[in-house]
Amino acid sequence: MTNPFSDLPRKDLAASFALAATVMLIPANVLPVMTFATAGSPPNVTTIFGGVALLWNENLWALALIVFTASVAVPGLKLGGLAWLLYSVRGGRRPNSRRLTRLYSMINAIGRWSMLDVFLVAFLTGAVRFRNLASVTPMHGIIAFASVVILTMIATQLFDPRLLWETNEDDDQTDEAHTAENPVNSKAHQRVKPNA
Amino acid sequence: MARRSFGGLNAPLALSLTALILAVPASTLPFVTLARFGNTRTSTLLSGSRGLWRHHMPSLSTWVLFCGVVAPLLEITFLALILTWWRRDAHDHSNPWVKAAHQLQHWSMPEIHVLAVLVSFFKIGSLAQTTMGVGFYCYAAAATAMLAAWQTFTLEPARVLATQAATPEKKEAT
Repeated sequence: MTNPFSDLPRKDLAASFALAATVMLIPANVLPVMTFATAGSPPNVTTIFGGVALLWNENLWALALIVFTASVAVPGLKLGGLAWLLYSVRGGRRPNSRRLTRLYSMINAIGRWSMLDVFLVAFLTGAVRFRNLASVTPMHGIIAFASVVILTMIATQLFDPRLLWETNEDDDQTDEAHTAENPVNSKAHQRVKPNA
Repeated sequence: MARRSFGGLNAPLALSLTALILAVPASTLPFVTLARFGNTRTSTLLSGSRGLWRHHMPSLSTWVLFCGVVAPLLEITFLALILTWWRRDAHDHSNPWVKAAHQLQHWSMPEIHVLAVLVSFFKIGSLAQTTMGVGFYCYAAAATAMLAAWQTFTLEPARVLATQAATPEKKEAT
């Protein structure tokens, strides 16, 4: 019986989405994400990193750290991790299946937290509407940033973690390698939990 | 199909029904009230999405609405339906709602929405006087109930994949 989970196209698709996300990371970080306008002072145009710096300068260090983790560290780590996973399953390589499966689970779990900045801009846009006194206007950077989040999430969904085990049959972890032949019941796959 | 830690199927069902009930006031009652120089502005759960739409960002507005409102609502509805069904009959692995609920888990992000609102509160604290509304508390409680429901009940992805591949099904009582 042929494998109903056609792996190769999915792997290539995952790589394409990851590459697209990497490209979009540039406008996402360069373009402004929102403008904060208050009466009596010039409009404050902020980028993703500028928003973090603003919180830091206002002594809101914990919040700055949360936003930095969600908006700067997580997308970077996620794309780096995906690149590592995709490189590891290239032909002829013997990846450390257990460790890489754990990495995949982590990427799958943390990726969605990058949506924090998108929700933040959306909330401020809807809430801060005092005509000339104060207003928040979303800028195009937030669309680029949201696309990075979506593209990386799709890339993660397309990547099949069973590939990490299929190239590892001679590994010393023979039990996992054996069960990888029947991917549906493999321990490797069961370890990858959905986002709860 | 389900991994249970306590309470059988009753615990996740109770939690998902709680989340569903809380979703009603969360989406209708005031989310947050801002006051600045005597002007007061009250926003609801949908205000953010509406604001983006007003600023000519319909795709982003739809995405925010989907991840923050529609997906969580559908996810918890499907979960409640699956659990209700399974409490009465044998577990049906080929149920399309199982697949749908599993897929929606990836895109449903109420807990991130809650964190974003909390960060916003501090961010605009110096700009305006902010008051959390009942809607926000209900939304946060619904998000917590959803997380708790998934802690007591897990759709195993391997099983879902098995269903998709139409492999011989092995019904197991959990």
